[in-house]
Amino acid sequence: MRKIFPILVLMALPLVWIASGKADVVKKFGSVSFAEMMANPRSGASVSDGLVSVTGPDGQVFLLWESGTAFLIPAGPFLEAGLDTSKLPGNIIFDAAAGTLLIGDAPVRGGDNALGEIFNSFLKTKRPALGYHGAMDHFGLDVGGEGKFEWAIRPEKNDKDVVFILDPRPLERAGLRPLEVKGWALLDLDVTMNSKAPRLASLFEIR
Amino acid sequence: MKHSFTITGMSCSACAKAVERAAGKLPGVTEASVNFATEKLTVEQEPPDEAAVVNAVEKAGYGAIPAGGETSEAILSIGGMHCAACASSIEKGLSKLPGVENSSVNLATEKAMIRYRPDQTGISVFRDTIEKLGFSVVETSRRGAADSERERKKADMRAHLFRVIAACSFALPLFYLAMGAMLDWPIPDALHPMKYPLIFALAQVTLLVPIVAAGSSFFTVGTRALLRLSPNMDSLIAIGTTAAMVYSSVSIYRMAVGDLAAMNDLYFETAGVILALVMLGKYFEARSKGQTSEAIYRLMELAPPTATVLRDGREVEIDAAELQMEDLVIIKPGGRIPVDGVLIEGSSAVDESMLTGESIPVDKNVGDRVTAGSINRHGSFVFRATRVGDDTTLSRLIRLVEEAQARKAPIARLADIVSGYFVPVVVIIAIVSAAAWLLSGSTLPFALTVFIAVLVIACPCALGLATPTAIMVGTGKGAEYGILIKSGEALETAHKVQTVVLDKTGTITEGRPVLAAVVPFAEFTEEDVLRLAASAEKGSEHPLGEAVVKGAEERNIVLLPSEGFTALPGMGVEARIGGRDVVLGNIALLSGRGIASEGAKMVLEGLSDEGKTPMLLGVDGRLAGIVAVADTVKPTSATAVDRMKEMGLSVVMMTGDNERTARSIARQVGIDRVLSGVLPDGKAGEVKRLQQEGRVVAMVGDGINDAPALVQADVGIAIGSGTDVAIESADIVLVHSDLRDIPSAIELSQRTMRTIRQNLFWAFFYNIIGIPVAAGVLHIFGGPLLNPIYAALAMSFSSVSVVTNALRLKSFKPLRLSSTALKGEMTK
Repeated sequence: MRKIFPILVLMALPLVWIASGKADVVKKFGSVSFAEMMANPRSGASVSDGLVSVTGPDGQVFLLWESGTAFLIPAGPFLEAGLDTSKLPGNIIFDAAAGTLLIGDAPVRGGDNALGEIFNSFLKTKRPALGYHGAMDHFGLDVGGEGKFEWAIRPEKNDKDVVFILDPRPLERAGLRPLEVKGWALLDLDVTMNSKAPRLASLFEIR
Repeated sequence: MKHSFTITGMSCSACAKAVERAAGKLPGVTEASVNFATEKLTVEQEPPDEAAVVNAVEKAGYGAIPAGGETSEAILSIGGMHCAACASSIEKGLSKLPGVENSSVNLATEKAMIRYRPDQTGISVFRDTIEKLGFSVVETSRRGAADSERERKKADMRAHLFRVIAACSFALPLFYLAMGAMLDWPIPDALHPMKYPLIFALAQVTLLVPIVAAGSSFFTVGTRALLRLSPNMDSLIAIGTTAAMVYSSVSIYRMAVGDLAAMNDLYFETAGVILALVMLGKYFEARSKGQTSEAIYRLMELAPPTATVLRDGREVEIDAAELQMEDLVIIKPGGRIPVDGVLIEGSSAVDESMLTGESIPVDKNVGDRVTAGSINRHGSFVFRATRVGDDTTLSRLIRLVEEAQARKAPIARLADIVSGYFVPVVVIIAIVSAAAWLLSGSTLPFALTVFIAVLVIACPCALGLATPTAIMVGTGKGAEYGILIKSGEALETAHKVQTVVLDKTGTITEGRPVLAAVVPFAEFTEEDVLRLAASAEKGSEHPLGEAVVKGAEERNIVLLPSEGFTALPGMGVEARIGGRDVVLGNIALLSGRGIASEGAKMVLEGLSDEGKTPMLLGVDGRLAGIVAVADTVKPTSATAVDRMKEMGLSVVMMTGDNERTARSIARQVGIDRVLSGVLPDGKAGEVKRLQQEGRVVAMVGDGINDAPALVQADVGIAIGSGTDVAIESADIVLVHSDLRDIPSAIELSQRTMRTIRQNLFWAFFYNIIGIPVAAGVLHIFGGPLLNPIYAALAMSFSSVSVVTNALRLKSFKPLRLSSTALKGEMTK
């Protein structure tokens, strides 16, 4: 028993650290990094009406609110690449009037919370949506199933500072020819630590 | 004086070297030798100082138990206890006795368990003490030193197994967690490195802690060895895994301060899996090593731990170690005989198969000898102890085997030299390789991988185990079949033997010649010749003389008193009988006494051609007759000679007999080369002459007169039924007196040496190939880099494979027991 006690203590120490909540470094440094990215004037970021948005050079918008995330993307290039909007799945909504595709959750506006409060509220319920992409040194937020919004932790050392990533498969089933979407590239990207899959990506630098 | 110790805490041959160095530095020590496989240290020291040796070994970081310092355990059933106070008084009484290490009395089971030094006290002392306290001893049982040693090893193995299971139980999930993330195996989100990298790392630490605890000896022993500048295998494992753990801990720190890329630099699973695999390998190695000592344990178990003796007319059960010469020992049906002795009352059939190989129980009557370790089959009897303690035949056999296993074979020398430098060189190679990769622009994790892999793959254990394990199994297996190989050196030389010289009498033949013919000359009658010859030989101890005396007695011839008996070695005897000068011996003896024997030439040749040994009888300067004796050839001698010839050995018969007699015997067994008429003092010279022909010679003999030749030969082989001098002078003793064991001994030696060579080749080849691969040589040419986990797997496999290869020798069966030999015998 005397021998087992110190072993149990040593085993418990990391667990205590985990239980303290201070071991969630992705949440801790992800929040800081997200705020830094938002503060960068070239990121096209804004907070308004409870909605955080990051707008890319081609008009694509990443939206974050307390309970969800979504992409609002100009539909033109997709329609030109063969997308049949009548065949879209339930989580992709085509707004003919605005000419946009909404991918992900339906945005909920309201409130005057600041960026940090919105981000933290989001993580309270959707913490697994935030991850760290080691190979790229990016943080990322899940958007609409297998889509992702990623940003570089150190833009000064990265050439892909902000990345919009879409899963092309549901769009392909709706007739899209992914290689023909203007402003988007079909790339093999890491989907796990060890596997890659084709993804539609739109990326830009904010340095 | 030579004394030996059991060494604990050794993990590889580098440890053995460290122990040898520590003991070797002590004053008066001329030789210190450690057998890593048997974990025994033998020290030649004058004057002997056990305490100093123990101290020096302990200072070197290991444990040493002097031989004979082992404890035994006795369990006594006690009658007459009523309360806890009774139990307590017995416990106190026993504890006060010198030599008792601890005792405990259980009132509920009415049993006392006593751990004691059998060289200082024994069961009869415990019995007296308990009876003096007013209680009775109903029943006793004892576990001897061998049992205790076995129990200790079993307990060690159980603890080892527990640690292995514990380590593997945590290593498996650790490996799954670490590799699962990389290989897309399902992992809970809460532990996913892309979501919670620090928690992922901390979970690995939690899983690693018990593995490190289970393998803590690698760190304690390894660090101690490192600090003494004599690093061992534990040091290599400790350095490698510590490097992995420290680097990974730095990665945790980096993550904690925001450098999340450090999640790619975690090597906790490498450290954990290496420790678990090496522990698993060590467990299998220890288990296999245990099997190499089986033969000696089987011999030790032959002697019962207790004996029933007659003391003051009553039967008393005592510790077998307490038996004294002249003690009267009672043996009941099914009982084992504890010491050697002479039967004085009763009769029985005794199974001596473990000692003589004779499967049919031997009838024993008053006056017959009984041997320790044999089993009484039927009746009860009482015998008087004549040889006790270390002097019994069984103890001497055990000692012979133990000494053989403790001595190193010359072939082990190279491995010993390499082992001494191996670990420091490996550490240097690891540092240089890692530094070279760093300087060539590789990343720190890459260099670390190389560093760990080199340390972990290097296996000094295989080198250290290659020779002793094979010798242990070889000598043990030999002992099991009655082939006692007295040293590793003898085992090594025996495989090179080209010529086998066989003494005739008692070796090829039964050695019990019988009177075969009596030929009278002139006025002498057959009875006269035999009476005078037997009377002259009455004082002789020579087997030929005894045969003449026995022949006369069988014919009811009354012998005459003799005076002035003189034995003339290699020639005959002379004596004065009834006022007449009598000479009995060979032609040379009679010629020397001026007695003409030409007239008997035809008769002599005829007898010699029949394989009989003729002795001429001269009376008062005249030839009076011839007596001839004949020795029968052992039924198995011809098969043995056939086998030796098949093996390409040249077989030579050496005898003092004349050419014709010798040739006749040689023909019967198929020997072509005969050295006849060799006087006892000329045997060694003949062996030397054969050696000068460039042959490696084995001499097989059984008598005192063979001793110089046995010593002169490259390998001396004594027949077990022979004299103590012959057995002492020989390198190999054949307990069963069966010549078929000669080719078997040589075959066993050949197989053992083949196994040693295979082991050494494998151990050297493995390290020579493994270390450069781990250092990244293949990677330079575009090949893969060795993962340290695979390095650990390879390292564990290498030492296990060496021991397993040695264990293959257990399948050895001597010619005597092989089916082809039996068929051959039946055909003959």
